Amino acid sequence: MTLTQEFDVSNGLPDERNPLSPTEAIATGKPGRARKRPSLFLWVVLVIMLVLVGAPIATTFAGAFASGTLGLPNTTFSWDAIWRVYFSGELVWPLIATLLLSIVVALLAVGIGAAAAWVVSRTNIPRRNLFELAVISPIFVTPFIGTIAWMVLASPKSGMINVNLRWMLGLPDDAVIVNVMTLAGVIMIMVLFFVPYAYLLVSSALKNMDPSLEEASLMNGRGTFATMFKVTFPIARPALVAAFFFIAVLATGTFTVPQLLGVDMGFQPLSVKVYRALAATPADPAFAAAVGTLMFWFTLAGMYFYRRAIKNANRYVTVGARGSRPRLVKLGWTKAPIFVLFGIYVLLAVVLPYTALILISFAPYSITDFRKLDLSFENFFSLASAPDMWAAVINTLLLGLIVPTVSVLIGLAVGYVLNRERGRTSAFVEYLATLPMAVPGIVFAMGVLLLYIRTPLYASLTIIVIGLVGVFIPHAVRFASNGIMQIDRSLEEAARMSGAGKLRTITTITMPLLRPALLSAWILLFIIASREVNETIILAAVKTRPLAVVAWNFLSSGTIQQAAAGGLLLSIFMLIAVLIARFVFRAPVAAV
Amino acid sequence: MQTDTTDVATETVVSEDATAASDAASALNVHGASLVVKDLRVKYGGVEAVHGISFSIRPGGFLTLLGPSGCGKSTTLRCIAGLEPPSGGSIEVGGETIATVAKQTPPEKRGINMVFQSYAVWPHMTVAKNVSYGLKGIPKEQVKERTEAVLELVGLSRFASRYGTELSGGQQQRVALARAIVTRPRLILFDEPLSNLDAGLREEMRYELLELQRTVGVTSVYVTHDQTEAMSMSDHVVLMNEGNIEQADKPREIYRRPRTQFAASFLGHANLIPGVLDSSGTRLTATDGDVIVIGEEALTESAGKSASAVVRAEKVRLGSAAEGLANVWPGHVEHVSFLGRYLDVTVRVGRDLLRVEVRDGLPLEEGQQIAVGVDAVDVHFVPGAETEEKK
Repeated sequence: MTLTQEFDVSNGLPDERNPLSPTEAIATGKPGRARKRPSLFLWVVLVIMLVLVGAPIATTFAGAFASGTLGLPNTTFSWDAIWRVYFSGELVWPLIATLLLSIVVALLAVGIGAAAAWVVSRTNIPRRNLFELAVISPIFVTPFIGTIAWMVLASPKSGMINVNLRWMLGLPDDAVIVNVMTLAGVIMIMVLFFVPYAYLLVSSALKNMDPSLEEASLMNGRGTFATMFKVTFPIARPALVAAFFFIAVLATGTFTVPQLLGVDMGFQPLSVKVYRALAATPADPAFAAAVGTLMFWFTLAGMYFYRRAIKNANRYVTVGARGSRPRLVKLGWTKAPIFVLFGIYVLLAVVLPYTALILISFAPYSITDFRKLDLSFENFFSLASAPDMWAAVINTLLLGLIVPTVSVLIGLAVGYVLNRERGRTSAFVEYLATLPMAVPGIVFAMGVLLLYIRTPLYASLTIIVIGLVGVFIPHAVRFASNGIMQIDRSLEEAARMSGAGKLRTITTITMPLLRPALLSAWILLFIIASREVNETIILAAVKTRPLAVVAWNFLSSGTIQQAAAGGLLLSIFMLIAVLIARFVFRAPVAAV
Repeated sequence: MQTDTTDVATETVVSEDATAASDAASALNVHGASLVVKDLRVKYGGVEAVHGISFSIRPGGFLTLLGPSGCGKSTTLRCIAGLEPPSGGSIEVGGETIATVAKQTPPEKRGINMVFQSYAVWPHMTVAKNVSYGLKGIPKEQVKERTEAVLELVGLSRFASRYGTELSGGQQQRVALARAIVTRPRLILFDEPLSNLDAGLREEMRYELLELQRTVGVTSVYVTHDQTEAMSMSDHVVLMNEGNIEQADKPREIYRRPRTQFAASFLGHANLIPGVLDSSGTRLTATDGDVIVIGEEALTESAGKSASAVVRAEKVRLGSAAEGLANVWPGHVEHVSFLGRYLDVTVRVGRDLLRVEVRDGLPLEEGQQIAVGVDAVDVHFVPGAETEEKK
């Protein structure tokens, strides 16, 4: 029985009251009947969450008050880093620029994603599934691999497009036609590869909307566009806000793109500052930690607004009538421009990047001139013979298997606790479970690094697992929690009444029903885990590097064609895994 | 179905009056237009769901499309609304053709409004915003005035600033209703509006809705699978089955003179006794046994052919009450159940089982032999099973 139902019984006026969702009821701390004492299981979950999520964040803060690396013998208490970050004024402009960059990227990505979602779900566009696939597919490219590809394509001097158009059009040797090493380039790359997230979030909201809400608008004399802007998108607002915030935080924490492309951008985003402070010799972890805390406040503020925006999300929960499908808007002459726009997107996000990656991977030197192209498997051989290459493949595989598994199991435990136990403790657990969403990956990774720097875990694969699991917990919890929420309790109760014990009920009823939700969570986390760079790069040591970090190192040392080969391998690796998931386990891949 | 064509002819005048009148400010001053549906066909996902049906309503009339789920009634309604295109036939409102296969007026330009099964109250708007949504292009004070008047009418003035989903089902229903009448549509469509409410509230809302329709006087098309709603609310019922019209008539007529077996059995507790009619069309010999059923009205079209006698459960008399009626058969009480207001009795006559509603407190026991009687006036014949005819 949920809290809301209890209210219904007690005050007798169920309809006049804004019903609280279970999670909201927890968040607002409304008392149920006699509050049960937290169970042992809840305590266990709480401790796990404190270790995985609370401790790294707390360590980041502690690290900001250190004179050097927190935990090392010579380190003492110091205000230096805090003073430099918060009071010297040095970071005012980078902070503003970082926020603006994230907001612009998120706005563009959500705008494009929402428009695509509307076209796919609300118009009579032919080959709907193909269009959907086209918008989602860049999720496998990832911003990092996309950046490598676009460096190959459009770096000002040796970019494939520039080099070849020069001789084709007879332009002088220093003519720059396209240049991705600019602020616009950074924004474009991030937008291109964040659009799929926006699309997935918004399109599921649009697909779940009761079609009669829009039909009612038509019946009230409003046309297609008025309906779209006054009914469809306002009702999908929680999804739009969620997508905006999700992408803004993702963009804030992405240092790879601005680090690689943003040399001439005029400013260093905070994530790049954190990375450089950690990667430089000598490293300055205190400064990195202090910058991390600064980013933390802003993403926390963003999260507050996000939660406030979706506070009344239950108001938006719409119960559809008899699964009728939405009325599809007939596209007339607009069909052609829409096709072209989709085409351009796929060209920029998938076709061009992969063409570039494949060509450069087979080119012996970083030669981008088509006239001199001499393809060979050289790069793959040198990749294969590169030190620790096989270790990298195995590391990627291990991370790809362990991280999602652990995350999903913890997500399941947390989701179970959140749905079945109420009270202050589980509210706190819920808060902890969403907190990593507000922490840019690189900052979180730094917290993990500082936390375990003097333990045997340092430089082991385990520390990467701990770091990634911490960041992935919100996703895993969301999947598991939604799954559990959708299982009507009476299904479990019916099993108990039929004589099944608690354990048998869980294994024969709950788990099979949860399987699809958990499987799609696992696959999503697998994809993110196997390509992760932002965190792993901080946590990985020489022997524990996964493929993505190896590619990053090639890039840093200037051998772009080997980085490209690495990126290509990684893409193939993910593709095979997803195909296995899709066709062997029949898992739904499209849900974030 | 033949509604008088005169209705259609006169109404154009009426509706012009109505548009003129609706420009005057009263929110209640709404008149409907006539609706004529001609040979309408609708394909839904490649399958034809409606096979060429025709009906019409006079201005201000209340017509119900009744039928089991999947009979095509909702599809027909959505087609009138403009939410589905027809694949054949035409629809006219107020003498103006709004939909043919070739040309369909977009739904927002039809001057029709609709109350949805799920209410479709917009969750991101207050009740007042929901209601005033359809009022555009008129001065603000008028919007306010009309919104307030309509909210007053449905009794929701107190809730104007609440959000739609903070209301109960019944209240949301009223919001949907207010939103549909405030635009002064020529026609209101109701898509099973009461089916999401619980039984008690449904009855209450039924009367409220009907009263409101009478007050506003707008032409209404109502879709339901609930025969009680259809019977009690409408002046015309179009009974549909599998995409065809079974019968279209006044509710009382459909009940008293069903034209098909389906019509007879869909409305009320009808006993069907299959058999063969004699040449006069008033005397039926039951297929299973020696029972003869005599009716007053002849079914000449089926004279000498197979037919069924329709006998309503409440018209069957038992025991001494059966004496002297045109049909008296020996019966055997199979089952008796007490339903409060009446006894629901199953008696065997010949090989047919008849359901009987007994209201006079007759002492009955299962297994008892008893006389079963029906007056000739209460016997009605319908043509034999269609399945047989089709073969």
